[in-house]
Amino acid sequence: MKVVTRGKKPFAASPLLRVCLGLTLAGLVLTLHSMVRPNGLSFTLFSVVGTPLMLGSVALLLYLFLDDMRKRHALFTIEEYQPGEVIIAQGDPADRAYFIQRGEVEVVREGRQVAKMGPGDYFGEMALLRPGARRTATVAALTPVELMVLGKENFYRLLDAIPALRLEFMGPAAERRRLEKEELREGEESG
Amino acid sequence: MLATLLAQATGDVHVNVDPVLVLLRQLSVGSAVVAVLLVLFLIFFQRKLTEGLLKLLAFVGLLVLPMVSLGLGNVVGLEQAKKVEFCGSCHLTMAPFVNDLRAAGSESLAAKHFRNRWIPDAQCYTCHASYGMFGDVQAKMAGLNDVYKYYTRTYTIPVRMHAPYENAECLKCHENTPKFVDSESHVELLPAIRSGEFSCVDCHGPAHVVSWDESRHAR
Repeated sequence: MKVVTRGKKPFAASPLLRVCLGLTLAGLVLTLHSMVRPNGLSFTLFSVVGTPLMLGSVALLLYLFLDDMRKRHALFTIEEYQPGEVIIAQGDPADRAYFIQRGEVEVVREGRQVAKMGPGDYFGEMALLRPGARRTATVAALTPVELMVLGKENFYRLLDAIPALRLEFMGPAAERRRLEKEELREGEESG
Repeated sequence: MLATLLAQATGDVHVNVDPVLVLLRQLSVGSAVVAVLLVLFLIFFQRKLTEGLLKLLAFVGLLVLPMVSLGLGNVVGLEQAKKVEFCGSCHLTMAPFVNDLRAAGSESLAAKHFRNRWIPDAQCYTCHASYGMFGDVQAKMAGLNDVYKYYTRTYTIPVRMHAPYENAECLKCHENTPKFVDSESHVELLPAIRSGEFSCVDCHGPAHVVSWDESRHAR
């Protein structure tokens, strides 16, 4: 399974870091040149080229640090899945909720498709409402899917920040739980 | 070992006589050398570092050390740019003036000031940078223009000043000195000297005695 994660690119992998390294190196070489061989050309290159290069690098680095900090403190991360990929598997520990931005997913329980979901729908939130719960169904991508992913900590933070969301989640969660119990009962009776 | 290397790298005794300037220069070069090593280390071993260590080294190698080097480098560079040796580094255009300055027998005004240490240091700069609030900035801007013309070979021989020499550059040191005030002609001509109607060099010149070897300026 290959999960493409956007919006959470690590600091080390950023191409801007390499730009920073290049700019600083060029600026430092010009600085050393002007110190060791002080003349009109070396000092002009240091002032007019080297200084802006190094200041530009510092500005980029600060941007990188701030961007990294912002991403670390963002409520959501964004993940992309290709058709057929399993997003969550039945029985797995539950620690995140998923909000569909783009694409379509299927909900499979005991090998049987029980629902399809599309943009605007969400799943995985029920388990977050029950501490220690496990996934009750498998969700897989039917088309290329883009999901906003909300971790457990941030989920509770969001509920604290916007209490009205509790109602939004609790209602459907209770309804789903009721349906699950019904399905379970039907299964036992037929079995 | 590092101190020796730094001393060798920064040991231009002609340019540095001020111990503070030498120290600042060594600090600037030292920070730049360490920063270069750190940047090279990050370029080649970036993937082997943990995220936290990478950030720490990037903070030191890309921000702290380069800023120290840059700040000190600018201070040192601006001070170095005031030295006669620095002006003379544009050999083709400035060397004749510097040669005149140092010529033992020269009777030019500049040579007398240099020879007698009437101006102890940064002789070119002292006379050619305006005493005003933006004198340094104007001098640096003019200097940039000179460097551009020099390296693009777009100057003309004999080189001329950007603007007529102002008496204010002489008066900033000489006005109100006993020798200046004791001279009747100075007192009499002072309004004309101040207004620039009458030039100091008219009586005390020539400012420089230079000879140009035109063949050296072939483009």
